[in-house]
Amino acid sequence: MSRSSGSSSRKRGRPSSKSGATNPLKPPFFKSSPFSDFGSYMTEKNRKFRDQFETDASSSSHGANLAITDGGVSGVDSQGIFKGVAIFVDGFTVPPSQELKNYMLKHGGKFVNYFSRHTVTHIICSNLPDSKRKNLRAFSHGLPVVKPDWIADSIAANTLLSWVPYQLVEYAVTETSKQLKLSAFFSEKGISRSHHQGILIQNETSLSDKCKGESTELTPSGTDNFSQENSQESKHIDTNDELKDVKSESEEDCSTSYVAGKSSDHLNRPHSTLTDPNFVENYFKYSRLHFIGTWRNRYRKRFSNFLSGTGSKNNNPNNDTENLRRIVIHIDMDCFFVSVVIRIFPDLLDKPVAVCHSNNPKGTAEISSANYPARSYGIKAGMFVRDAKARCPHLIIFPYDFSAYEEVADQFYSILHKHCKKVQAVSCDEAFLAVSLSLNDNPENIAEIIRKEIFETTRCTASAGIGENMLLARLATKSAKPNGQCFIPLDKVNEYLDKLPISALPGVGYNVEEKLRMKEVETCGQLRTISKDVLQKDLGSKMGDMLWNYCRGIDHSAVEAVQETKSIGAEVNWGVRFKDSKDSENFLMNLCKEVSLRLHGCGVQGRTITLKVKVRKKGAGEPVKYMGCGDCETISRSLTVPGAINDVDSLHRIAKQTFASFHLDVKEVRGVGLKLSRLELANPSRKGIEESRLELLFSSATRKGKQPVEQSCSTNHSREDAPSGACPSSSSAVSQGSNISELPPLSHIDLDVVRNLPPEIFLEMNGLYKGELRKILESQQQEKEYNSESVERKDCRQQDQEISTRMQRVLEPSEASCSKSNYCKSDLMPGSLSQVDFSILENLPDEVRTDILKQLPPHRVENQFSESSKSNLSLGSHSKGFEMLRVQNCLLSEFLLSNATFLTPNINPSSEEWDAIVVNSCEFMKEYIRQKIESDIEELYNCFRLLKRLSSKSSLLLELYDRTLPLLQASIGEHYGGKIASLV
Amino acid sequence: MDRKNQSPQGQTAKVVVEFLEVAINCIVFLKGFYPSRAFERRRYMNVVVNKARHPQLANYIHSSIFALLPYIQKGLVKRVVVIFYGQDQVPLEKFVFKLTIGQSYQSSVSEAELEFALRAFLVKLNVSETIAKPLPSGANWEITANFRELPSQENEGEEAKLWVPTDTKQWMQPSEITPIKSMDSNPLKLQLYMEHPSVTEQKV
Repeated sequence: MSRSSGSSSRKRGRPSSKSGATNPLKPPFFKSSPFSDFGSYMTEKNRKFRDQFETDASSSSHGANLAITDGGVSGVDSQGIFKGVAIFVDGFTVPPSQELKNYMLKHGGKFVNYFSRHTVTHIICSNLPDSKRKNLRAFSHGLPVVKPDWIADSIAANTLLSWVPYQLVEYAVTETSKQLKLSAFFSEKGISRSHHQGILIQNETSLSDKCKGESTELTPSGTDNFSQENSQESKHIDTNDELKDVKSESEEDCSTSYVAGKSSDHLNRPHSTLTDPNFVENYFKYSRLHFIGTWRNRYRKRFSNFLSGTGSKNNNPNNDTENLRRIVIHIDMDCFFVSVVIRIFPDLLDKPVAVCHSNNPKGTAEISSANYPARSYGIKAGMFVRDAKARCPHLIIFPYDFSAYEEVADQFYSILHKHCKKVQAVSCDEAFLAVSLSLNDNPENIAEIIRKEIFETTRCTASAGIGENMLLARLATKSAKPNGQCFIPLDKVNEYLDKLPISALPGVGYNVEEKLRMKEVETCGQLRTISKDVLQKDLGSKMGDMLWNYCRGIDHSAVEAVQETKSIGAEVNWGVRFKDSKDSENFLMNLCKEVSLRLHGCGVQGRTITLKVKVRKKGAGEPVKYMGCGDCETISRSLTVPGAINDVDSLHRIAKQTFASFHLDVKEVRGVGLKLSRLELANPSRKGIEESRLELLFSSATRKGKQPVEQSCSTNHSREDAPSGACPSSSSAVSQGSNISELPPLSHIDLDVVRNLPPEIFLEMNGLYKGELRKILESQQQEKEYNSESVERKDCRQQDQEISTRMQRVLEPSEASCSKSNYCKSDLMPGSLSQVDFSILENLPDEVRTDILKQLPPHRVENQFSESSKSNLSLGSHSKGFEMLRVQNCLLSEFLLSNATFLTPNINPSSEEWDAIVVNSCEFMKEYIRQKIESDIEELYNCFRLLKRLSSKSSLLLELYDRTLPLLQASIGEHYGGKIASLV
Repeated sequence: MDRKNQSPQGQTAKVVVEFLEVAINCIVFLKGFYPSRAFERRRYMNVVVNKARHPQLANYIHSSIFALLPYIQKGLVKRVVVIFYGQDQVPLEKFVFKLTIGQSYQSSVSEAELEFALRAFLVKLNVSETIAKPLPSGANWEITANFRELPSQENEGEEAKLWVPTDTKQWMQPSEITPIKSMDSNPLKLQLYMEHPSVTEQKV
């Protein structure tokens, strides 16, 4: 450490990006110097500094040379952990800049006095003024701004640590606070920066050539996007890098840059739901989980011929089980996602490699798979890239290559199916095989053959576990990995399990493990000492039973070729940010499209729709993971519809409705998932029925808009729609509406009907009218309350009618089907509640029910027929006639006259239905007679004359006439002392 | 004409009485009991009706019906019947006006509405000729009224005394009824129908 250099540094002032500020003072001293201008002066000055620095370095770095022995062929002066690092110290730092300079001298780094973005790789500073903080990029030119601790710690660790954790805190804060607007962040500058980082971390030069060689080698193949991109990207970097030492191109750099390149084209995309109209689509395009999730369908399609059970050669159809034993082999590819990607780079086999979306070394992308060398650094799946890079700076990160995965998975399964008939696919890289072997066969042989073939075909290794059942096979695989196989024979099971930690058992999660740890149980051997009862008591009967079996190596589950798909859905928990409800609606629409596509892909429809929403927990800050969901509360709600659906519109409407029912602030939404369960095969013919049903409902809905009187008819319709279900559930209404794009105008809606709708349907309708409906209803409700006093009296009669017509339905639910000729007696109100069918009553809307209950006893007692009550003649659900009678207050005779043509039902006279109609009609007629006999025999006379005339056409009317005429005559006799002439 | 009574029932009763007078005129004409020359065409409620020209006949109908007015107002009159007899004083045909005037209901139907309804009776009556049976020679006719209760003679005025108890013979068998027209309103309910002896009665 040289004191003189320290003092000289101070004299020159603190280096600053605005270094020119101090310079104007200097020129006078150099008037006679050869510098023609300020620029050449600065060049000269910098050169002088560099020379000084290098002489200093050569004199002071001997110790460092001794300490550092790894590293490749390079100049003596640039050896050391900071090779390739050029720092620029800005402002006051602890340790001071002079000390930092000395560190650089000692460890092969460079110290730059005047900032230049071409020479500097890192900016070191302890704090920043506010203006620079706000405009960081202008200040840093995209270079990392690092705390001086980085240098100190790196020296202490004697290795170049990742600078990521040492970023100036303010820097990180600024970034996260800007998180929502970061699409710009991913454009060129971001790449160039990550590019620089790549260079800095590299310390192996030998590989760079190879890597380049590979990329050029790959280019001609051309078909592979991946390699094309790779090579293009490398070229791109080469051209950009003229300022850099060519040697600094390392494998690390290479891989970084192409990942950056890869990410540049997908990161250049707007990056959240906020900015990307096709977010959902892209999300799933790049999602590994989605790949795994949808892989099964692909698999099923591809291997359906195997799955259907046409045997393969190896399978012994011999039923002679005595000479056979069944063995389960569990085959699992070793770090599938990595090994598939690097199978074409044999050199990388022993290098730490991981697969991840993004290679941004300080990014929060999660590593999805890491190979065994990488795992030895403690890198695990699910780790953020920046943490992984901190543990292993030379970790190579590859992007996904889904087409390669598909290819390898297909090869993998082809091999499995070739050797065994019964294959249970667990995932794209994992399967169970059920093999029947004769007693003297060694099961390890077949596993050996399969593994060998897999390796030869795919150049990826697989491990196999062999056991008597699926559990043992799976456990054996764990000990077999990597690239090995393990056989647990029956007599070794206990021995094997004794030492096995319980957490290794499938189904044992954190909770169970914790509970058992309280009992000081950590291995299966210890678990075996606990009785089944105790286990079941502590962990629930199912779990207890399972554990009891598992720790004894018992597993009854069988290898099954085909597993039913239970549900289909899609969920997005990353990048979900909504500004307003429009965003969320669009997003839902896209999600529904995705789900619908998946449903169509599988040829199924679902009846239960579950919407899951992740909402930012109160007080939770922005997630650590960029655009991640962070700390969330999950809300979910499901709705079962009677008819299975898979079309986008229905899904969207239900999803929208459900989403609205959460009443969420869309800004807080962090994830949305939509799932359909209760799947059934899509059947086009069913669909037709569904649609016609919808039309029925809808037509009645429009009718009800026109004519309030029809209310009971239309509600009745909706009830008919779901004849089997106890509830007229929203679904039918829902799915129905879906196919109808036009809504009746709000003014045409009969609010009484609306009010009496089941809540689900109401919600749905309300949704369709964007909440207007509820508003109107509420305002009406108030009005009604205001008026109710005065109106009550008047309404009473009207209500009576309504009630009785409804009651009519209550009493005769089947009537609708045979409505045409069915004269419903208006006052069929039972004399007491005991005669009411309560199951039907319960299904009525609350309001109606209470009305009925209120009306019941007095209605009967009064038994009073007013002029207007003749309009009660509800003729079943023959809405036209019914409506006419009510609206026009007309007489039965007129009705008969005008509807003569309708009154000829096609009902078998012997059927029960027919009897019911006749009885009902007679009851009605008798009541009508009773009602009219005092005041209007003319009407009765006309009715009967009409009946008589029509009875020639209709056996029903004849029956009716015959049955009621005696009463008429008797009544006439009673009241008028005679008989009606010409009817005798 | 007594126009002083302005209560709803009075109003209605007055209208009814007028109507009955016209209707009975029509019935008599319809039956062809008198030569048609004895009638003149008039317009009542905008319907063409026939009115007896003979003062005695006109007076008979008018006085007897208007004698009913107080009873009708009180709602005592149940029926007003025009009976046609054969020679043996056995009724051959009855035209029955069954009327009820509600006493409790205060608000009356407007006169125009009432007229409209009553006009229907007249129209129907005019075309009911076919229902009516031809009368044998030597037939007679009278206007009778059925009361719900016997009116107390003392309280009634002069006109009431015009009415005397009838000795009309009753049919032994239930009659055959042919409704002609009914109206059902408040306060007036009115039905018009014809009664004929049953077939068995005629044979006897």
